[in-house]
Amino acid sequence: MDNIRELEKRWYYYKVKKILLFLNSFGFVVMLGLGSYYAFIKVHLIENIFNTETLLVKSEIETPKLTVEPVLVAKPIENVIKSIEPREIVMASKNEGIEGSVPHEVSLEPIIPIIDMEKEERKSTHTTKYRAPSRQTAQSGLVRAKPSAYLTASELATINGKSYSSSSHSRDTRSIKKINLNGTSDNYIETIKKKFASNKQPREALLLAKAFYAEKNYNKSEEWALKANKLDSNLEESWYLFAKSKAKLGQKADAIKILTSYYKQRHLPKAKALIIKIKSERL
Amino acid sequence: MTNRFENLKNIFIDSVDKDNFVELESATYNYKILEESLNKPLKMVLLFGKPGTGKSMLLNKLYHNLKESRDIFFFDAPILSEKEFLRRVYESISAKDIPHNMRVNFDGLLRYCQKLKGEREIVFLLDECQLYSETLMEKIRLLSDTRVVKFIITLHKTDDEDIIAKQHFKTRIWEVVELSNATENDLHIYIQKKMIQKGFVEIAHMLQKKDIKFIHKHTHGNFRETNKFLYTLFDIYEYYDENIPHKVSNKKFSKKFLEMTALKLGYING
Repeated sequence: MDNIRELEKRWYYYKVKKILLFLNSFGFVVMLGLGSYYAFIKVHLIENIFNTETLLVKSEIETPKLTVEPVLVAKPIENVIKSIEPREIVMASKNEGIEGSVPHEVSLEPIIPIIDMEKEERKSTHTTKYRAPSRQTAQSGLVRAKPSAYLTASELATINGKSYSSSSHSRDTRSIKKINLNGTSDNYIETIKKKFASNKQPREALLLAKAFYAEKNYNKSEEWALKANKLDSNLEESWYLFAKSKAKLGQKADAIKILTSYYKQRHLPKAKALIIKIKSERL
Repeated sequence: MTNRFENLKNIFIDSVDKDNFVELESATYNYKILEESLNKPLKMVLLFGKPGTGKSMLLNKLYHNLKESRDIFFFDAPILSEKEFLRRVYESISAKDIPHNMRVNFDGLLRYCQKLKGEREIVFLLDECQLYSETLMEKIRLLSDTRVVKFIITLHKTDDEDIIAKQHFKTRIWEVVELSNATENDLHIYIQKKMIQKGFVEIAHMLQKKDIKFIHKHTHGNFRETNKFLYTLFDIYEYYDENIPHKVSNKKFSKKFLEMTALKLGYING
C-alpha cells in the first residue's frame, strides 16, 4: 500500500512537471510572438528610414533641376484643394514613405520681423545727428565724399547751395515721434495692411500671414497666406504658412493634403519635413 | 467482504482461458477463416501477429470448440526437444502412452501416418512456433506432406524478421491469418464486454471515450498490455476504495488514477 502512496507522490511531481512544461511552452510561444512583432516593427522602421533617405537623396539630386528650369509655376493652393481626392493623398504619402522617420530638421517657424519702431527712430535720429556736417566743414563749404549713394538732407542742402533748415529736420523728427507713440504690433499689422492695400504685393500679404501666425490668429494667417499664394503661387512660404495655420486650426488632414501636393510638384525637403512635423504633432 | 475492485482486477489477469474470449468483430472474422481453412485440403495454416494480439486465445478457442467433432490436438506450450515432440505427436495420434525409456523413430512415424491416409485427418495446433528449431520445423513440414496431419501454427511477427519468407514455410503455407492490435472502438468493446460478462455492468458504463483514448494511446490496442493496464488501474482503485473511499467516483473513471497507472507501468515518466 506504501507503493500507492509513493505512486501518488510521483503523480504530483508528474502534474507539476506537466504544468511547468505547459507554462514554458506558452511563455515560449508568447515570447516568440512578441519577438516576431518587435522584429516586424523594427524591419518596418528600417525600411521607412531607408525609403526616406533614398527620397532625400533623390530630392537633393533633383533640386538643381528645379533651379535650371527658371519658370516653375506651382498650382495655387485653391486648385490643389479642389483637385486632390483624399484617398489619393493617403496613397501618395504612403508611397513617398514619409511617415515614421524624421529627416534633417529644417526650421519652418515663421520669422516675423517685429520692428521696434521706437528703437528704429532712435537709430535714425542718431544717424542723422552723426551724419550732420561738422561746424568746420560747414564753414569751409566743403562736403566730404561719402561711400554711400544716399545723402542726408543737410548734405544735399550744402551741395545745392541752400542753407540746411534745422526746423525741417526737427519737423521730421516730430513726425517720426508721432509714429513712435503708436509703435505696437497691431500698428505693424495695420501698416502692412495699408501697404498691401496700396501695392497689392504678395510679400506684404505673406508678412501679414506671418504676423497673424505669430499672434496665434490662425484663421487670419490662413486667410493671408491664401491671399499671398493667389498672387504668387510660387511663394514657398505661403504654402507652409497656409498648411501650418490649417494644422493649428485642427485641420491636419487638409494641411497634409496641401503639403503632399506641393511636395509632389516641387520635391522640397522643407515641405516633407513639415509634413512629418504635422503628422508627428510636433508643430 | 471482498472489495468489488479486487474481483474486477482479477478478470484482467492475462490468460488463454476460452471463457475469457471476447467476441470482437475482428476476432470472430479471424476465427471463421481458421475454421474454414480446416475444411480445405491445406497442409499448414499460419496464424501470426505481434505478441498480445490474441493468437493463443484464438487457437485455444478453436481447440475447445472443435475437440468434440474433430481429430484435433493443441500444444499450447512449445516442445523444444525433438524427441519429446515426436513422442507427443505419436501419443496423440495413436492414443497410446510410450514408456519413458523408448523413443519414437521419425521414419517410423512417417510410415505410420501414411498408413492412416484416407482414414483420418488429424489437426495439430502449435503455439509459439518461432521457438522451434529449423530441423524440427523441417520434420513438421514432412509430416504435413503425408496429407494425414495438418498443422495450424502461430508465429510472432517481428519488425526485423519476415517469418513468412522463411524457406520451410514458403511453399507449404496456404492460408495466412494475420492478427493486429485492436482499434479504439474494438478496445472499448473488449473492455466493456469483459466487465459485463463478469457482472460489472455499472463500472463498464462508467468507461468513457476519453478513457479509452488514454488507454489506447499507451497500450496501442494490444490486448496483453490492456489487461495489464486495467489490472493495475483496478488495483489502485481497490486501495482508494478501502482507504480513502471519498476519492473514488461512481460516475466516471478518475483521470488521476489513469495517469497513476500509466506512471506505474512506465508509459509516462514522473
